[in-house]
Amino acid sequence: MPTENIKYDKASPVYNKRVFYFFIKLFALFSIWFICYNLILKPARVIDRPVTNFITILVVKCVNFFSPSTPAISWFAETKRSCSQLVQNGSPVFGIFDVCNGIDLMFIYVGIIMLLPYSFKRKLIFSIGGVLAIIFANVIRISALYFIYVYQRSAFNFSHHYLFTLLMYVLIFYGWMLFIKKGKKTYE
Amino acid sequence: MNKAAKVLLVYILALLVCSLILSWFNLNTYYFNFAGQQIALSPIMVPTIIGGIIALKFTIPPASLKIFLIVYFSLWVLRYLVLYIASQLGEVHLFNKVFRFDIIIGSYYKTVSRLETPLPFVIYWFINFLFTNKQKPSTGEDQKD
Repeated sequence: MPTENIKYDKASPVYNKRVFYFFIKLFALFSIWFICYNLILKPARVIDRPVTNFITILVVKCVNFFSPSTPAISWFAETKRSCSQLVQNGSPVFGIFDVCNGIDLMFIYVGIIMLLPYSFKRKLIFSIGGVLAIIFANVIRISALYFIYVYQRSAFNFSHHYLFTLLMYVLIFYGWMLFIKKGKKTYE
Repeated sequence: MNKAAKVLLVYILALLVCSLILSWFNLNTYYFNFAGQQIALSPIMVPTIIGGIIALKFTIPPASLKIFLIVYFSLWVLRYLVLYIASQLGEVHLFNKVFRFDIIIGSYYKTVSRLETPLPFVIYWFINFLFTNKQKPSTGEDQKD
């Protein structure tokens, strides 16, 4: 985390051009993403299918590792719905849908990094590192949700919609803070 | 830990406590009819918005907060305006395809604005900190340069 006490320049203008242009670019980027994702990527599951399947494979490994005493789980990719199913004793027990694969979050993280005024090399390193961290955190999140679903179902909704969502936001925020901590802005 | 990080941590913790209380009392999503559409309204939005504004009050200058509040609440008003216009458009036939503009535009606005999440507050603080903070937030590479 950066400096101890944040001190603002009292003479700094109310309207900041850089802040304004940043949000304009962010709006344009989100719009392009929405159009490309919904028109091209989502219908054919170009990105979603491999990412969801990859995350499911890691979740299966993680769950089997942490509960060796229970029957091992496996998985299969559904063809009719956009999801993968975890299977135990031949019956599906837990579905991992495309909306859970974290692509949206990865895009927000990488999108903002790309718009910040730092060197491209730094952006590339933090984008790749951040995406890997998000995938890793997502695997832990879904594995934890699986255990909560199996052993404490009453806590599932809260964990799914609030707890882990907020923790994922904290993770990407921390990634942005690390990104700006040791770097030189390109306009300085 | 700096002040902003502490404020963010308190904000997130407060949201977690609020969401736990809301889940405890089974206060989940409510639906209401707006221009012929079912609009989802989650009670967690209230602590998200109030907490976010309080967090910003502690971390950004008053002038910046004023700008944020104007834009943020304008975006909420715009949201319902856009939803109303989209519902009036409804289905549109273009190039032998049916486009449900009421769904597409609603989804677009939700994706782009993220008004129901803490992200607008977090991103605004972050960008404001980056571009208006007088002190450099770095020590490492800057010294080398």
